Amino acid sequence: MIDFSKKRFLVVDDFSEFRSSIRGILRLLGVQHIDTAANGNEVLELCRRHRYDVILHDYNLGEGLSGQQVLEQLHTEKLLSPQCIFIMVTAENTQAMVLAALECEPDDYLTKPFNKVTLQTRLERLVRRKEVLAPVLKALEANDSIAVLHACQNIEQKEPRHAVLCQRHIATALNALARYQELEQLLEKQARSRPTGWNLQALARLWLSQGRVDKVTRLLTAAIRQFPMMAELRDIQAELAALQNDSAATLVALQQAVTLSPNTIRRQIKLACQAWLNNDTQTALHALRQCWETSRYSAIFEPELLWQLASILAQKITTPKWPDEVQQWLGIIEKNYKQTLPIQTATTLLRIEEQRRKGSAPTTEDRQALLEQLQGYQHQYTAMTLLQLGDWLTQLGETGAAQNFWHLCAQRHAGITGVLEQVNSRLPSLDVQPLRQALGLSRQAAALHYQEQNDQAQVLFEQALEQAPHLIELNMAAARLFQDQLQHQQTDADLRLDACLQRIGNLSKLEPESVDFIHMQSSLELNPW
Amino acid sequence: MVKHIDFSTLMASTVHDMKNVIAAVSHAYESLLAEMPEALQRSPQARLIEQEALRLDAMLMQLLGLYKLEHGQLLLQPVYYRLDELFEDLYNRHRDLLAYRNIDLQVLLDDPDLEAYFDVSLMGTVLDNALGNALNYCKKTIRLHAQREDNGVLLTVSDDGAGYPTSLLGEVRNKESSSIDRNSGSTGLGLYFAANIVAMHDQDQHPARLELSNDGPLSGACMKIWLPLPSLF
Repeated sequence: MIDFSKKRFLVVDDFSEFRSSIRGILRLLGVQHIDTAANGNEVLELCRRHRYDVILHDYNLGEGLSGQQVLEQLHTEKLLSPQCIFIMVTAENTQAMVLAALECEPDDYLTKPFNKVTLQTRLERLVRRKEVLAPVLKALEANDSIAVLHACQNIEQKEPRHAVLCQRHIATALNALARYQELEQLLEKQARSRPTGWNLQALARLWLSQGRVDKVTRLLTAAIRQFPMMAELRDIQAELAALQNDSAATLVALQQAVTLSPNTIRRQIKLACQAWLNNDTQTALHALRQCWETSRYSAIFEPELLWQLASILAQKITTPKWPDEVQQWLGIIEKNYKQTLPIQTATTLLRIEEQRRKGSAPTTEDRQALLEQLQGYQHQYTAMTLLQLGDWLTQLGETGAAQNFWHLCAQRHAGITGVLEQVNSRLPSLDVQPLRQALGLSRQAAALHYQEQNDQAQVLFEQALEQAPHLIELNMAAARLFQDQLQHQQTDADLRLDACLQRIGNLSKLEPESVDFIHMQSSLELNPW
Repeated sequence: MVKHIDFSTLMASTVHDMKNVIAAVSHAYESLLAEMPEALQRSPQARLIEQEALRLDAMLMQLLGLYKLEHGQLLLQPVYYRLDELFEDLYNRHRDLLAYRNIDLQVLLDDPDLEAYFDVSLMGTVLDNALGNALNYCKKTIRLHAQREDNGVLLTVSDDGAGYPTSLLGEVRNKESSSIDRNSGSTGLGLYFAANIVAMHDQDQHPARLELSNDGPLSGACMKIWLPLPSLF
């Protein structure tokens, strides 16, 4: 019997009856310290002030953040220690909810309603598991991958019964230490003996980074047959199709992933972008509306999505009066997101166009001021926004500025399948060959990096950077190599890494790369020069 | 004009509410029980309340499961799960009743670290039913057994009672289970549900199996479930 009296609990549910009922059960188990919360913001607030041992969190909190979004935010703000036990509580619910809860990987799930015995058994097991893993979790908290590996080896030797708990920690540590060959061996062995979702995803991603297209294709076919409900496998399938420059197949895979698990906002953002680039505006609009519906309270949500929604809708209209839905989204941007200046500026552009259609042309000064502001924020827009900004500027007769935005879009975002085709349809004279070559070199270099041939990788990266210094995909891929070099204390790796990040300058939070970008920026700041 | 409401949908949403009611009543009961004198805590009436609440909840779970099955909404969430933990869960849920009826529950694992790949909640419902039946029909012993067999795990629930009626013996498969008279009472329905749940655990080329026999180790009823393990290559 485990002593719960010293452990600090947080119970989260929007129904007060349920909160007091869980409180009652916990009291019977000897728990003395119980906090409760009714919504996501309260949880975040409490977790900023206290360290909880156990969090029992309802997935569906009604209006506001969902359990998934709270957990994501707790991870982003690093408010959960590895020792904390996070249990997601779900009612008998829809597939979307169940799969979303699975995707954010809490320590465990409980289906409502449950009784004392069920809760007690689960809690005791989870506490025991964390106790066994304590040395590993401590090393994780200290961000010490070598110590993680040692602690795992210790557990495997002394308590083989718990070895299975260590597998994922070992894989994560090997990845952090850039020991990709060992990682591949480990993942492949596990995939054969005990295939699991995370293990197959990790192996597929590693092979994808290594450019081993045939291997990934075979693995994904087998894995999807085995785990048909796992949306992440379709995400990787989309990445594979993108690597092969097949934008139609990329879109199909993303649509399948979204059909399986629609509540994950990053996936909807990707789908919206790919669908629009593929000229499928209906799918793009639907995905953007879903982002608002399911995730407007999420920290990942950005008003740029609403701007894109309004812009796509408005582009379809040639009459002077814009439809109500366009007005609705623009109104929300102007009212709720006053602080987000890049999007306020982009919205002003749409308002000026609206006025022009009604017959009142903007003054030259207004135009000039707007253009300067837009250019100042140009590194903070996604590819889709840059292309559309160019389209609106063309309507205003600002063709030179429009072409600058499209050029910039090509130079930064050529790595996204379909971007160069879109730019080319607007700028037929643009020679995209050098960009395609640089992209090819970048992918070869990244493949070499993940095969631990770092010197050859660096040579190729440097060649590619000469050809296309602003390409985001290339700079990020090179930055990953330089980050590994920095870990091994290679001379000037920090300078090379910093140069990559400087060239990118800024990234919209909607970019898939933005998480890694921000992470690298902060790790560089922490590193002594 | 009165709008027609699909009865099964109405039922499914009512079942949700009913489960919440049982949970609320059970939580209140557990709190009360903890404050009662020991003699009352051990009374047959207390066991009766627990047993019947458990049975009602299991029936509702099954009803909801059947509704989802018919509407193609039953989602399988298989994971690797240790068999010692599965059996521990099962024992915990029936602990008080087993003790009260003085029934010996034997748990046998060929390998203490054995794990299988299944939906814990759905298979839990199937095994709850099997154990519930065994509790009703055994004399004094029930045995849970798990062993590795081919590329899968064989689970056995057996007892020392009079065994199944002859008409139920043999392999049960969901497609054949329409031959089970679903109006004949809970056994038929439970078996229909179990057969469908087990069949959802099929792997490519390796269908899961459910079999009823009377030649188990304790010479009474014996339910065997074979669940394949995933294999990719």
